[in-house]
Amino acid sequence: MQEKDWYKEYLVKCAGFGDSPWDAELDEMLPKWKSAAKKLGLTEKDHKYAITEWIPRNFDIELEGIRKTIGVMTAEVADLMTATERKERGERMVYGVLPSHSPFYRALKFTDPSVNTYFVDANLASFANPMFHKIAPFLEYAEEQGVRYGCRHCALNKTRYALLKKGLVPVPNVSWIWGFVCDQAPKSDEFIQEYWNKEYPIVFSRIPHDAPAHKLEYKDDELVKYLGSQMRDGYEAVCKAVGVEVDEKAIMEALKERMSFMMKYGELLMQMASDPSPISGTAVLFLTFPLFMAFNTGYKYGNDAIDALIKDAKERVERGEGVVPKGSPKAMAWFIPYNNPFVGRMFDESGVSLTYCEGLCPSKAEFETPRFKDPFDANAEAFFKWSLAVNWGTRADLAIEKMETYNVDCMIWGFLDFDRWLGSDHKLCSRYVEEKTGKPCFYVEGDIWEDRDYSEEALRTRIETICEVVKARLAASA
Amino acid sequence: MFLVLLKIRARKVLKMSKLREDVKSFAEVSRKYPSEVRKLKSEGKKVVCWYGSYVPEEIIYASGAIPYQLFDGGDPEPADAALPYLLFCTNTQARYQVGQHEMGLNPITSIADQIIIDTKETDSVRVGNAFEYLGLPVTYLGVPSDWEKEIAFNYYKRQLGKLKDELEKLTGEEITNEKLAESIKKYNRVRELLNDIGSLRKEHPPALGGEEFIKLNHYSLRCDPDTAINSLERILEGLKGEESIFPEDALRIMVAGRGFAFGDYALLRIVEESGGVAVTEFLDEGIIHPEKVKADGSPMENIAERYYRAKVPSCLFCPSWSKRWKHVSELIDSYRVGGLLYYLLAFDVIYDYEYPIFSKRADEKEIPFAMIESAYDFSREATATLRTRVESFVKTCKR
Repeated sequence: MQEKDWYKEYLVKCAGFGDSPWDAELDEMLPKWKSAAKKLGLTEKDHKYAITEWIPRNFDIELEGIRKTIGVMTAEVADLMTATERKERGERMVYGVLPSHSPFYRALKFTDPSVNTYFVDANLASFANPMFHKIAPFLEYAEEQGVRYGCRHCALNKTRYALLKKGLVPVPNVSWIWGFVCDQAPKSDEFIQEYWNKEYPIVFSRIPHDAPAHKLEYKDDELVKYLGSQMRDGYEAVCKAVGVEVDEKAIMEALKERMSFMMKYGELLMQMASDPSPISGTAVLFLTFPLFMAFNTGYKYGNDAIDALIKDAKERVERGEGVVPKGSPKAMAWFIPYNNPFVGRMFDESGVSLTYCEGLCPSKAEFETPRFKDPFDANAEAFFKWSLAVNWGTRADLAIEKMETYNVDCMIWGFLDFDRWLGSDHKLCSRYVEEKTGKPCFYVEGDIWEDRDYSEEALRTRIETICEVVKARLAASA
Repeated sequence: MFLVLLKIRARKVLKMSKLREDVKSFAEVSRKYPSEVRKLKSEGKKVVCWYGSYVPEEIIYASGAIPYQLFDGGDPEPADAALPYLLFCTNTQARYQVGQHEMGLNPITSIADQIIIDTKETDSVRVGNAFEYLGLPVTYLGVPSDWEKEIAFNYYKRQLGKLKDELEKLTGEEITNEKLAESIKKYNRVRELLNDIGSLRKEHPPALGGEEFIKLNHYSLRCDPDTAINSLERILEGLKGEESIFPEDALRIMVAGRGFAFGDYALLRIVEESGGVAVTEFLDEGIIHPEKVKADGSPMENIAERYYRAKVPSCLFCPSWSKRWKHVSELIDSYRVGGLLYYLLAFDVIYDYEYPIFSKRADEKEIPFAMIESAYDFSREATATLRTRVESFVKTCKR
């Protein structure tokens, strides 16, 4: 009897390569995926576990849209794992980090398709743990190589360092580090350069966070123009490093493409507003990634996946089906810990649908026409409308706005206990939003990227308690 | 080791020279500074707190307001008291500021008319955020971290200009160039005196150790500049020809890291009780850096230049480590350092990256290196462990 090919099984059953039109690519994808999996240490046993246990437990893979969503991540990682060979053949590589907006990276590809753009850490981490529950070996490797476990360094920075030091990805032509939000990412790159490889090329782009609470930074011309000038400086330096011309038209084209995908995502969110929520909030989140990460595969797979997921959602809404019983409360998390997909599932199983991710749901301001025409200033303006980039007071205000827009019953903060920027104001925000809305807000210690310290069982009691409180509060106010 | 300890203590007691009297009286003035600030506040003066080494005290002083630096530490309880507002992995120093206020232990924050927060790093911004949430009057000073760029320097200059305007509004006094020049002159003199005092430690054995030197910095930061100048001039004079209290075979140690907070002296004391002496330091906060503000030209321009570009870049700046190690290496040579101790505050994430880099570079330079981590827990048990570690380090280096 022929042994089962678990790699093929994974691509077909979990990653959408058995569905039209991607089935035509299966023969091409399979060897590519096998090679990528081997490099990443994803064994047959890991595939079997993912296919038979981990993925079906956490994702509705009976839906084509979900399979294709997993496929989007798989295709990107498969592509990333060929970067070393392509770099050796003379292709150029540009890396970046979260949090970010993707248009500049897309514009580089529009200008010269032989330039490759990746967020190597986020591309891998957002895949290895949610799909295979296997990011820990990369983190442990980084910890053995100088980044201490005890200080709670960000898992993304550790992953980037591990990928480079293991030689799984090449030293890029340039690493464009956006320190527009946090200190750690740029300093991690400098650490990589100082501690490991002096030849690691970095372009730093940074801004200080000096706005008082509740100030709308995107309305402050000086701030927008300062960020715009930082973006321009950085982009010009990157273009110079990879030998391409700065093409402002390409940037505008990338912005347009991003907006078009965001509109589709908005359509998906409208379906999510149904009672009950048709699809888990965790699964829906993955399709925002091309908006915020450099995806070397672009929107090629993302567009198919989002169309399929919208179709799936509509069909479920028509049938009145969802991830929770009708009438269940809806929760918004500032950031759904998608890398630990059991968190969202435990909420759903406890009768509270963890439907929305505040940090990646567009705000009303994000749909407004930009005031600035210059592509760099326009990008800067868009960036300052984003919940991840603003001062703590505005972040809380945006949460309040979205709680009203999407009519959610509670807000979950936290799951970012390592994150000195994005997570460090959550306790303040949680208190403030609860005071202003009267709706329950919860701060949960946790880690969005990994679960070595916060396992499923460790979080279960906390999540079940939160869900009971929310249901009781809702029942009391009915 | 016990004998060394006894010897140092005995010399300290016996030699209560005029110098030690001067140091003691400077300490006393500084200790009373918070009461003095409260008194001045009741008489109508404005009180301006500041947090972070990129806030120019000269401008606050020139405005007629009373400057008060926030940098207390050395006790774990206030750091824990900040946990309702801040992440547990916010660095201990930053958490201390919020917890100290929350516990009512800071005599000044609750009466401050303005608290200026230097925004070069996330954790300091979060201190400001928590203060804002608690209703304190916070102003953020924009400090871009990419310090080598002209646009970043210009941004910092503009923010200093705005800060000047705000202080004028607060105090109702115009900050003229003459007032700034006078203020710069005083603070430069304090820098010069401290630098001269610190440089005396190039001698061996030095007339004063690291604990005393750090305390002189702290006293100078917590008093008005005129008092600091008078005290430091007397101390410098007294130090010339002063006999060392340290043994001939004392290990010459350099301490590096974010800084020692007001009240955080345990490590320095233990070093000097263990047969070592801290002869030089490389710290970002809680210390007066020697670089002076230029006297000629625009005072605001000169202040910006000194704080942003003339100093060795902060650990938080990008890039900084190459230049920082170069400076450390020069200090090691000029102070004939025999061992490098890195003082790391718990969860201080960027410094947690710096210490392995320094460790690697120290190995290359064949300088013994050790890292000491602190969460401001100086209980008997914690101190015993710390003492063992320091004693072992000193013994190893001496071999």
